[in-house]
Amino acid sequence: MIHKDFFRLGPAVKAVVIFSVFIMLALAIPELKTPINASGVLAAASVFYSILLGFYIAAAMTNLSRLKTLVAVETGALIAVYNIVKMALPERLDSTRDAIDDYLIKRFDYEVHNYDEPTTAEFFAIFNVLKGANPKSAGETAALQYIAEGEYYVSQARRETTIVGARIVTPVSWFVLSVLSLVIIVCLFVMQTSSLTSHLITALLSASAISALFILDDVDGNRFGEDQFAINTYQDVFHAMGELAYYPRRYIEMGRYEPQEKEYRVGHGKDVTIVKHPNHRK
Amino acid sequence: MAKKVLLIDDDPLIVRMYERIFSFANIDIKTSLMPTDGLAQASAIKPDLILLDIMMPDMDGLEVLRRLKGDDVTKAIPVIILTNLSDEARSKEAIKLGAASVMVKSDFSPKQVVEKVQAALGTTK
Repeated sequence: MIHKDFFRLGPAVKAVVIFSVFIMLALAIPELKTPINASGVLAAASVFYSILLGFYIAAAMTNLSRLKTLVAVETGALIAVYNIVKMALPERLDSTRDAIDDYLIKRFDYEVHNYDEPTTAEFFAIFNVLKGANPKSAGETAALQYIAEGEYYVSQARRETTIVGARIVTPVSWFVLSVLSLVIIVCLFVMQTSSLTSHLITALLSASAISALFILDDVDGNRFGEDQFAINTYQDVFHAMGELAYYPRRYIEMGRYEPQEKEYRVGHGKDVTIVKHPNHRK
Repeated sequence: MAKKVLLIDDDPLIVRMYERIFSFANIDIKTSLMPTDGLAQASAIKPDLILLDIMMPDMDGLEVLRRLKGDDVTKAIPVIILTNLSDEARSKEAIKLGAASVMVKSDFSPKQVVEKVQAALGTTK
């Protein structure tokens, strides 16, 4: 079994670890004599592997790009709502800021693809600012209309995150990809000679075949560039409201994110504490 | 007295948004998530204008329009079709059935929809 910490490593570190394993294997395994036509099998397996892998990486990347856009739509709208309330309805600013803060903290209790349903109540509470609002000028009317439109568009974006954030590589596809990569690796080891160059090429190609699967898993699991789109983008909202950044405790405990702020909040659910960073760089 | 508009649309988010936007524009907005309920409300409250979606469960918006125009109580009420479909054939059919106009949701911002409704009601500021 692969240790769970391995999955948290960056792609470059993962590739180095995988290469190290394969170079040791390549050096340890002697030249093999088999009756099969390894080059023919390698060619066939490589074609199927690259087609399937290419298809899934393209599809997963499209979904990930859309997910990033949706997160940007949501966070941008929340900042806009806060600023509009600040200008047009200052008496409702504190309650709006608290509602957005509560919503984002709850949102971090979930992943970027499954927070829609559990945070519905907190999300709509933000727009309580519209309840009973009685605009007294054209400017106030426009501001309130903008907030009402924001509620609709962000609701749609939240719904869509559930769809585009879901994994698309099925267990059967993972099985097929794993089998094909295994066939490729076995063929490479069967074809290697005793020269150091051959060992290096075998290890490099084998590591590439496996690394590509890890990249696919990262993209499909929305972990590719997660720091920026799923964590930092939301911090922009906290900063815009003059609040401390907030990070879910599990992100820090799992090593998924290392906060850089001098002071920030950490928590899970309602249990939120303020942390002072011992080695802040900002 | 504020003009009355009835919105018949099965999407609760759309309904929620327009309820708010129309109320800010001083228009008395009534809503219905179900076509059958919408028909009943149209007869009961006799709105000044009806906004009608096409894609709805149980009954197609065009069928709702046909029934509205076939009923003496509601046939004179102007109906604006507000739809996600940019299907020209359906738009032509809606106009043929008596719709005042057809608006594709993606082509108009909610603010523009309100302005269009205000223009139709003759309440443009």
